Amino acid sequence: MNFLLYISEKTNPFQSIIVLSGAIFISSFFVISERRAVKRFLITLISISLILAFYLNIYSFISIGSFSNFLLSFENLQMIEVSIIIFSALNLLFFISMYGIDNSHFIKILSLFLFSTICAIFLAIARNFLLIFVTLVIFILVIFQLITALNLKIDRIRPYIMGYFLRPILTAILFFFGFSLFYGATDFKDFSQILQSEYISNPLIALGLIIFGVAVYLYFFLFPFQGPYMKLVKRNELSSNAVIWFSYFPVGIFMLMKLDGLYSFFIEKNNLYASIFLIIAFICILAGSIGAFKTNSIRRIISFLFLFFIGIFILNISMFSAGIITRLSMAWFNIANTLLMMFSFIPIYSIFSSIEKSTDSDSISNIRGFGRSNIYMGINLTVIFLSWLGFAYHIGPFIKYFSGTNFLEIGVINVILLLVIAIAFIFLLINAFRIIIQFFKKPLTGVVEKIVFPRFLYIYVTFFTLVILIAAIWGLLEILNVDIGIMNFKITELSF
Amino acid sequence: MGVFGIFYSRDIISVFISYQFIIISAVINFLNFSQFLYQSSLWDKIFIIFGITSLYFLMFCIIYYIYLKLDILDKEALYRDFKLFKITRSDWWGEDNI
Amino acid sequence: MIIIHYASIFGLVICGLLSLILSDRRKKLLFLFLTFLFVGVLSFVYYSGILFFIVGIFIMFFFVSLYLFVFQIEFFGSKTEPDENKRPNGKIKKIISGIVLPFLFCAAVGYLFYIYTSDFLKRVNSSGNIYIVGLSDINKQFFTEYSLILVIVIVSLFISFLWFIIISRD
Repeated sequence: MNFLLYISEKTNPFQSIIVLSGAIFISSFFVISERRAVKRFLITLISISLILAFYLNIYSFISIGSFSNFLLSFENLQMIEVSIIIFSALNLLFFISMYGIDNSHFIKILSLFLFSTICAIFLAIARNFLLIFVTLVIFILVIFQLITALNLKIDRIRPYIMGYFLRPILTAILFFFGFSLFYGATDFKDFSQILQSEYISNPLIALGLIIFGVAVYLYFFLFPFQGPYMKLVKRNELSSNAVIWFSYFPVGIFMLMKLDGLYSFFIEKNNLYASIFLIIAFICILAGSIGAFKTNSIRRIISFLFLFFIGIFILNISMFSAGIITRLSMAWFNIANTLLMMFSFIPIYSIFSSIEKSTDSDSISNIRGFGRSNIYMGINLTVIFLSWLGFAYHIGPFIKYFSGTNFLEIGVINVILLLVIAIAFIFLLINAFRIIIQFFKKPLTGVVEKIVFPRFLYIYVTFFTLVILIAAIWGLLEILNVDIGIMNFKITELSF
Repeated sequence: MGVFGIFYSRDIISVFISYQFIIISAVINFLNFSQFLYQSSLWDKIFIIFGITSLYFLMFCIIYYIYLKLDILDKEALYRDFKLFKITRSDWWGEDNI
Repeated sequence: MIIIHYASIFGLVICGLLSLILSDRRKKLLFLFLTFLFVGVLSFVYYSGILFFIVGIFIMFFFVSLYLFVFQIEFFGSKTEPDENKRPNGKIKKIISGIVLPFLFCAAVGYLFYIYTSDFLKRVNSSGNIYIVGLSDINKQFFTEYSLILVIVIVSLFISFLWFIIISRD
């Protein structure tokens, strides 16, 4: 027992990574095999290893505590990020094995996918500039390889894949340049050191941050540069869309969360930066929601809504710099947003993609009358869409902030922020209700035939619905001050 | 110059060339700062080695993919008329027909 | 010393611009290679020629693939060039949108750079003592502090090997 404790102490932040590497190692023995039984065995093995990694990640953190050295830091926030990455990887495995099991390179794709997960974990817990940079580049590389491997059979998509991935390369190169400027300002090697030192007023740091900002902007394909992203998403094979949404985007968000401390420092000092951030957030939100409203293709709707949510991350940073929320609650807001994105989009996409597979087009008219023919799924999806109402928690801090101060003392920026949030909320609801109304509309051609889903999809979606319902009821009870006394902590006041 | 190249470029090779210029300028930055500010510390060298290795490996993979997988007609199209920042109306308004 | 420094930077800029602007593919690549050589000279100026050799290996791989790609277009592509020069109206528009706007943008960016960095760079004085980094020093730090990154890079090479199999078999 002591020996086991010793090992677990030695390998503290790496336990989940070691488990995943073990899975890669085992699956590398079966690389050439094309038998279905082997594929099933490997899917089971990898999902078990992912669940084990998820468990170990939380368990080791609780039992041993935070960890940091020259290269890595592993604290509360990082633990949650790693858990989110592993959770979305588990769902990605579901998507990949649902749509790609007939691929003759399936096992190789699985190893690529596991390696991308490992890279993402390293990126989340990295602290040193060099480790951040190298893992970012290799993560982009592996995602590129994964998407090309998944789309191997489709010829016409290839130029679009290339057009898409030239942008992340530019991101990586700009990061390289930005780090060189940071090196010129100070020889510190991680962001938190810079934040605490006096070097932060150095102009090179500000310049480097501007370049990082441009790089992140290009990474997310924010407005008006979203062309290649939209084109790729429209033509992609089903599971590779999931890879882009549930692996590529969250990692970018975690990258942004590493930088947001520095950003907010500069925004606080300078009003010009604050207004630039506000304008960017406003444009992202507006463009995302209007774009989603104007299109009839489900894939495009989902991808626009992703851009919308990324606009909200930028909004969080500007809310922090306006002094409305603290640093801790900004991190919590970001995490909550990521969770909201994951828990709503994964089941939505799982259902819509299977509808698309059975009808061969992604037009919104396909889901017309869906709620009438598949009542159970329709109700589930409605609950999931309504989970976006949870977005309203952004208004909470404003109420707290405004109630304490005189009406005349409220700054212009704060009012604009509140306005932006209100507009975003309205647009989001419009988009959600547009789809919900489509569900329960009368179909054009009389009776719509019932789409038969695999049985595990029902269980899968029900799981998400239950999680959302529990969270919603919990939050409601807390808002209404009803104490049920099951758990000690409160969702609305959770902080690190 | 790299930034200029990205906006000016009309074919894919120019895009890669301008990428290289940004990398080169970053390398010059690293070496300069290391020599004049920090008495030639080792950190920049290691950063350059790892950074350039990974970046060039990424670019190599993409070029290899283009070389191996794209049709010759697509390649011609890439060579003739390719802009990194091309904004069309269908990107955010209305439909994108395949 | 200073002369070599400035000469190499000057050569780099000239060759780079030529390789960007020229339309002939072979000349373009030739000048690109010259640029690359100037970077090599420059790295010797900064007393880190050893770096150039280590990194050069990877850069060479990249260049080889670029050359292969270009020559494949040369041999198999159609030889007809687009006749855009015959329309004067379109040409002027192209010059404005293709050269002037990027130039203005870059001037703005460069000005921004200048404002931000000038007062910082004025304070910087060059330090006298020079320390030439050898391979052994780099090696030592590689394996003590950055072994984790080395492992990640090597594993990514192996995984990419799988990818090379995937895309070349179909």
